[in-house]
Amino acid sequence: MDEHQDDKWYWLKEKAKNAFMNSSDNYKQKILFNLLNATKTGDQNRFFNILCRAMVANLEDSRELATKISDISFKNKDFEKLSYSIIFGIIVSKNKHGGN
Amino acid sequence: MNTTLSEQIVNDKNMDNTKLEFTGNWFIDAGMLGFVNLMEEVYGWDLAELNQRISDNKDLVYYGYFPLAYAYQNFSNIQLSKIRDPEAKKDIKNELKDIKDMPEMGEGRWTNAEDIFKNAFEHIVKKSYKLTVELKLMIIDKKEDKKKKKVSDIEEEFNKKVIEIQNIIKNNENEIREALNKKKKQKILYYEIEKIKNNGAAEKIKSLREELLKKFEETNPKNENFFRLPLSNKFFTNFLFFQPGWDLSKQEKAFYSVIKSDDSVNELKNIGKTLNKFLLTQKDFNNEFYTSALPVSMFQNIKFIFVYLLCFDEGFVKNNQNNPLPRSFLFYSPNLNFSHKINKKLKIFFNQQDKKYDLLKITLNQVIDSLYEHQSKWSLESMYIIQYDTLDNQKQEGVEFIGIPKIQAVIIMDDTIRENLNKSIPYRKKAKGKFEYSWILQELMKGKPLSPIILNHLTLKINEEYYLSLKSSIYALAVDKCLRKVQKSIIFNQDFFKNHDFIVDEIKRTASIMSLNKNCIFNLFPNKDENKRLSYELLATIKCKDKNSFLNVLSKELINKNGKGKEKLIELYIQKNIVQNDISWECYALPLIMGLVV
Repeated sequence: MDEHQDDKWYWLKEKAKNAFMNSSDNYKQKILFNLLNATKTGDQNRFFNILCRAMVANLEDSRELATKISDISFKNKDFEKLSYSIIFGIIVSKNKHGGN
Repeated sequence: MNTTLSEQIVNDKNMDNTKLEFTGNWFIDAGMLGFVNLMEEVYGWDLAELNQRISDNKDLVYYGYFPLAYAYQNFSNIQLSKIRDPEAKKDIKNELKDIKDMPEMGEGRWTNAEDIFKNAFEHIVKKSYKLTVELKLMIIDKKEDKKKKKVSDIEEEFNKKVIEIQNIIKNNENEIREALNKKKKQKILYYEIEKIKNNGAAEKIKSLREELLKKFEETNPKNENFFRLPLSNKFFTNFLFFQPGWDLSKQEKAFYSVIKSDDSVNELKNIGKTLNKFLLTQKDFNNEFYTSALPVSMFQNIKFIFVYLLCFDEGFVKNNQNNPLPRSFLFYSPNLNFSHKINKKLKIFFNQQDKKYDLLKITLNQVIDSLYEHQSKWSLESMYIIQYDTLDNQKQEGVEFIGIPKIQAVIIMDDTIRENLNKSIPYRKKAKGKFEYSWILQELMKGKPLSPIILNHLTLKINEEYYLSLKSSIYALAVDKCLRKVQKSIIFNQDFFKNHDFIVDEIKRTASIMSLNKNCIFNLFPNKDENKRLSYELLATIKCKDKNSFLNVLSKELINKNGKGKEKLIELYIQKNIVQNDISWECYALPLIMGLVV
C-alpha cells in the first residue's frame, strides 16, 4: 500500500516535469515562486489556480499532468505532498532545459 | 564450557540436573547468581568448581556449606557492624572465621541431608556465642527495655542484672563522665565503662558476659527461648528464621525447610512481594484467571529455589565507593556463566573507578568486550541492568530497570555502526568552552530518539562553538530513521522473527545515501556566508517540525541552482525521503544542513 502511494507522487512529479519541459526558465521560475508561496500558506485554491493557468497556456504538454491530477484522490493533509511533487517536477524540468 | 552461548539450550528437563543453570525468571536467576557469588566469596570456588562439587554431593553443598557460608556472610556483614567495641569486634571476627570450616562428621553421614544440616547448624551456633553475647550486652546502652509478658528464667535473671548495671551507671554518671572525659550530652557506652578500673558497673558487666558464655556452653541453648542465632535481613523478613522471637530449635527447623524448598512444609506458598520487593503483591498480581500469584509449586522443577531467593541480595554488585552511582546493581543476561563473568568484571572495575560515573557506559564497555570473546548476540538481546539504592520493607529508592530491546541489540552488534555510535558528542553549551555531552550509544540503549541530539549538536556547529562529528551524526540519524520505521510497523511481523538482521544493511544504505546528498549540497552551495543564513533558517523549521516551511525555503534556494545533475539527485532525495515521509523526514533533512555548514 505504501509503495503504491509512493508511486503516485513519483508519477505526478514525472508528469509535471514533462509538462513544463518546453517552457522557458524565466516563466517556470515565476510560476515556481508563486506555487511555493501558495503552498507555504496552504492555500489550495490559489495553488490550483496558478497551476491551471500555466497548464492552459501549455495545453498540449499538460494533458497527462491534468489527467494524473484528476485521477489522484487526495485528502487535505496530502496537499503538501501533491504540491511539492509538482514543484520538484518543475524544478527538475527547469534545469534540463538549460538557462536562457 | 567451550560451546558458544547461543548454542546452549535451556530446557525444563535440565532443571533437575545438578549443574547450575539460569531459569529465565530474572529474580530467581539473580538469586542463583547470588548463591554463586556467596560460595565464591566465602570458599573461593569458581563456577566450574561449584558445579563440580554440586554434582559430586549436592546435599553437602546446599545443606552443609551453604548455611555455613550464609551465616558467616550475614554475621560478618550485618551483625558485626553493630558491635562498637573495637576489641570485642576483633575477637568476634576471629571466632567467625571458623564458621565457614565444615565440621567433622562421622563416616556414612555425609549423604544424609538432615544430618549434614544439623551438624552445620550446631557448628554455627557454637561459633557465634561471643557475637550473640555481645549483642545481648548492648541492651545496657539502651534506656528503655521492651518487656515481654512471658520470659524465661535466664532472661529474667539477665534483665535484672542489666537493670542493676544501668542503675549503677546512672548513680555514678558524673564520675564515669569525668573518667571517660565525656561531655554532658555524649552517650556512655557499656564497653567504655569496662575500661575504667575500680568501678562497680565494669565488674558486673564482665561477670555478666562470662556468665552468659558459660550458660551457652553448659546448658542446651536450643531449648532456651533466650538464645537465638542473631541472623537478620532487611530484605527477607518473611523467612521465619529471621524472626526475633524464634528460638534456636525453631530457627533450625525453619532454616532447614527453607533449604529444602518444599512448599508443603514451608511457610511461603507464593512468590510475590512478601518475598522480593521487586515483585507484585498477591493482590496486585492481575493474572487472576490463570493463578492468584506465582505459587511455589510452579517452580517445583527448580531445586533449592528458596536458597536462591535467599541469596537474591548477594547477586547484586555493591558499590561502597563515594560516587553518584547506584548502591547496588546487577547485570542480567539469560546465561549464568556470562552474567557471572560480567558482574565479576564490573565489581573489579568499580573498585578501580574514580572518574567515570556512568553505569551503563561502564557496563556496556565490559559487555561489548566480553561479547567479542563469546560472540553472543543472543545474550545482548536479552540483557537487563537492574539497580537500586535502598530496598527494604519501608522504602524502595532509586530502583531502575534498563533492558536492551532486541532490535537495538542487533544494531550495536555490528562493528561499523557501533564504532560510529560509540562517541560522546556535545549537545549543549554550559559555559564558555564547557559543554554537556551525550553518548550516542547510551541514548540508543535507552530507546531515546537520536535526531534531537544531532539537531542540538549541529546547532553548536552552526554557532561555531564546536566542530561537527560528521560520521557519527550521519549514522545516528540513519539509525534513528530505521528504528522509527520499524517501531511504526506491527510488532510480530516477519521481520521480528527474522531477528531484524535486515536493519543493519538498511542503516548502512541510508547512511551512505545521506552522506552522498550531504556532499551534493556541499558542492551546490559554495557561498559560506549565504549558507550560514540558510542553515539557520532551515534549522529553525526543523526545530518547529514544520516540514512545509523547510521544503519551501529549500525549494526557493534550489530553483536558482544549476549543478550538472547534482540538483536532480537532491530533488529525488527530497521528493522520496522528505516530501513523502511523515515519520522520519527530520532525519533526512539534517544531513542537508550538514552539507551547508561542513
